[in-house]
Amino acid sequence: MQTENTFLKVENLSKSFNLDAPPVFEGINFEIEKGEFVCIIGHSGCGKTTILNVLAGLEDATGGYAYMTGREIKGPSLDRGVVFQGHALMPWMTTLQNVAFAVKSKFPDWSKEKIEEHSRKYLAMVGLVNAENKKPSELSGGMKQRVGIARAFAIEPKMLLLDEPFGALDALTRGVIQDELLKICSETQQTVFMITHDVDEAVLLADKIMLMSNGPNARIAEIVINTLPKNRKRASLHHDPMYYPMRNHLVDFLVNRSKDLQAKGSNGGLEGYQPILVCPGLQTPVTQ
Amino acid sequence: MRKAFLVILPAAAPTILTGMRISMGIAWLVIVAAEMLVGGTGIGYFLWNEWNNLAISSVIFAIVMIGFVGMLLDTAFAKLQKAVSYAD
Repeated sequence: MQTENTFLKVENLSKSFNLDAPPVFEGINFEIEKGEFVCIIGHSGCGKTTILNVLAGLEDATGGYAYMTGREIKGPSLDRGVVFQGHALMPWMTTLQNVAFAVKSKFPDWSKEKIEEHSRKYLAMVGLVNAENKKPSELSGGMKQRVGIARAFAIEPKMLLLDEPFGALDALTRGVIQDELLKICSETQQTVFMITHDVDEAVLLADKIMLMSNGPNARIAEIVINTLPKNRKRASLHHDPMYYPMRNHLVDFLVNRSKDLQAKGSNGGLEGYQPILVCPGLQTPVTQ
Repeated sequence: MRKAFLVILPAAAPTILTGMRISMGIAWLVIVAAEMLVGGTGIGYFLWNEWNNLAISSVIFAIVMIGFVGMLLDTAFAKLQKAVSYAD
């Protein structure tokens, strides 16, 4: 495999919080190409957020390495934007200041006007121009989340990491922001790594869906290629002939098959396990 | 430096001022008591002196003043605390 060409590469990653206990996940290997939208699904406790934190550089893995554009990820960087589950805005700053703070960190030599103009552009993108002088406590949950997304986009990161960004939102707002995210990502050809619990969300947004088995000893069990056409719309998604094979495959995994690997993994039966590559609804599974 | 003044200080300011407010109360109490013992200066010394002079009205006045100054200091800190606190 050529490391130079792959955008993000994870090698044999593992993490254990307590050395006596079995590792939360181990033997995680995957690659992400530039411009890809990757979703990761798994039951809670399988270490999805930990993987994301390792990719963000906020946490250290116990074993294995993560490389972005050929360089090892050590510590947080402005090349990677993170949107957290609970917005994580600074409550003493206004919306505009929150975004401008990130912009100033990325482009320290810009003038004040340029920073504000740049920040406003991204606030307008998420539809929050009228709220630029409000504090986060005066905003609704969906608006806060949108500020978080604007802040992540404003630093023009090479990769965007989303940790269940819509988890705390109601279904309606979630749909609206999903559409916005889809629009922004297709415009900017952004590489995205996203955690979600919502199967429909994954089918709508992702090009590639990674399924994780249950933790401890979690692995990436399958990598599912989204077989639905590229320009997916929320309104017409469920009419696509590929939608149900896709969705059924994902739900089947979560309900029935996610426990299978765990039993094998705990007695070391998964040495050198490689995830299966699947295209639901197209042909029989292809083993990598 | 930017991180210290724009992130850490604003985040910690409310708790810093809470600590200052509480310790200011204790400090005022201890200062007055110490002045009574050591003598020489201050309202504590004045109080003790007037007590020995049997000037009860001055003693009462000193007690009221101690309370009043304490209250004033506390209100000032409360205002300051309100100015730096933020809603989550």
